[in-house]
Amino acid sequence: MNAPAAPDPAAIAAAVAGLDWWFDGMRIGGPFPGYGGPVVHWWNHCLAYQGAGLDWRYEGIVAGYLTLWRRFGDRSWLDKARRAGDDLVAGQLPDGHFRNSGFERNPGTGGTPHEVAADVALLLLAQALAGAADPAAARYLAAARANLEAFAFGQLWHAPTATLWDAPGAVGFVPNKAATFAEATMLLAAATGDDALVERYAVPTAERIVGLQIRRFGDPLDGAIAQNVLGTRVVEKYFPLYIARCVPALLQVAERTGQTRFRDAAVAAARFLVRIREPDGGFPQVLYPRGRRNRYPRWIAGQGDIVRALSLVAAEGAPVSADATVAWILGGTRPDGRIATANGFGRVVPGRGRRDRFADEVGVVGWCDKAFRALAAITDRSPTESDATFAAPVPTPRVVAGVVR
Amino acid sequence: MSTTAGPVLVVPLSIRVALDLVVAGIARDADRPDGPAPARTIGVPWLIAEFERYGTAAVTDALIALGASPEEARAAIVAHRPARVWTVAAGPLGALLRPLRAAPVPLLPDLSPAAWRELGYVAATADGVEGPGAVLWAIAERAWTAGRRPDLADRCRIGLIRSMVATGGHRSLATVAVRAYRERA
Repeated sequence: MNAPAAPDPAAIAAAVAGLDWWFDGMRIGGPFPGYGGPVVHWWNHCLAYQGAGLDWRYEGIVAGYLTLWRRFGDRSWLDKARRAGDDLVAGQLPDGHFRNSGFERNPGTGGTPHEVAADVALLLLAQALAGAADPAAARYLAAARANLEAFAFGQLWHAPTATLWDAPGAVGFVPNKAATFAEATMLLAAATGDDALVERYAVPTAERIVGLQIRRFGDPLDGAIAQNVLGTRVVEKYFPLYIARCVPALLQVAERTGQTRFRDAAVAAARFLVRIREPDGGFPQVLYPRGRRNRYPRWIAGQGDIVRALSLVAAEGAPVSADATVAWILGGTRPDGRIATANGFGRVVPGRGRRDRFADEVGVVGWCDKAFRALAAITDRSPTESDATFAAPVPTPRVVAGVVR
Repeated sequence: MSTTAGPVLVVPLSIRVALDLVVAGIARDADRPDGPAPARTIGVPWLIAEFERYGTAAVTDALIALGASPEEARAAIVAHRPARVWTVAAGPLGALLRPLRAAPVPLLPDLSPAAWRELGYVAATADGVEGPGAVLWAIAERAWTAGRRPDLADRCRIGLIRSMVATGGHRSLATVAVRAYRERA
């Protein structure tokens, strides 16, 4: 049922151009400079606070702009990546945290995986600038290193068990968050030449992720990775988006170490994703044991991370295609350039949906960045060549726990 | 740069929603873009610190009492005579649920209605956070978790979060009371 619908190159280019336009409209000055706006999420929304958030939104923005710069050579894309990096540097607190890094829990610091995702952004930027012999690279590298050393290495890493905890002092492991940490660690290792970081942090993390993967031939969940571990209890929930976010780190660890079992795990995860993909290219929100699931909300913009995962695995030669999901994302483009967050928020909880229907259409920078990163990698023309025009961003009402204020 | 990051405070959901309500109410009242923090905030220091993260609209003539004791609130009102007062205080359910909670929220009750009248203020808005509806969702979540139905437990969890703002008659019974008062004309 996963017949790929060939994405229209012009539609991809227009979507990237639209997101670039929309991101510019989501920049705000208060309480500090950065990308702001509302957040809607599976568990909770953040709508009263719509100021800047220094969280995982920066990962896709920086990666996407750097991709456009590398592919099309226009310096303005690099400038936008640097502007985003400057937000993070300016918003870093003296103790290493980033201001308001909680995404749906904003305003607050210490967001996971949000701070390490911001580190990924900074390290990608530092890597790009170092490659261009730009001395500014050191500034972004220093900011990422300070955060990783103070927070991830200093507070979240539990050395006796070689485990990245989900919060300081909280015995728990979340594969997708740890995967982002592994990506940041490998980038830091590459930037500093300290290969010991890979052995100390990335490899044990990848091993722990693989340990939570179901490998049972014929099982519908074969290849899926459990959502988390609380204490010693494995939480048997399987979110396609978060499984996809494990894939890049697994492939990178395989490449760094030459251990094919990590590549095999990534391929198995991708095969699982393709197997459960729905005919329209979307994915259910979460699967549980014994065939239970909650289809809603079905992410749209955020599925960019699934496109990224499938594209990386396809590049390894595995027969998985992201085309249907690219088409699903393109179906979410809106006149102001944003990509809608989801389909079906109103159907998550029977009887309570009325309060949540609005959330589908909300534009969230921290979801659109994922579509931007994925589409920037596959567009065959620079967004500057698109002649599409876009409307002004649509304001979101301040809603608290489903009640419009 | 320090080598150890500062502590990460996990704000209880009821408190987060209460602060959201105050911020949304201020934005509605002030109808102005985000700007510096409000002029005068009193109460529990960590609540004030959390509130200041919002960088919310400047309200030059408002007092925001976040978990302040009745005595502290009264003294600040008498001293400054703000045109508007916002309070985050313990609601009736808060005292009932406190023994059941691992980490109870240390809020004190609001001034009595008679005290507000005596001070020359009338209630403008009254909201409740975590009312009976939210408590029922929480009970259902625990029941489904115990019954090994994570799919239904998750739905109940989301139902709980989306029901944190009490509506109708339930608002007066909630765990946390969020109220605005204005000076009597």
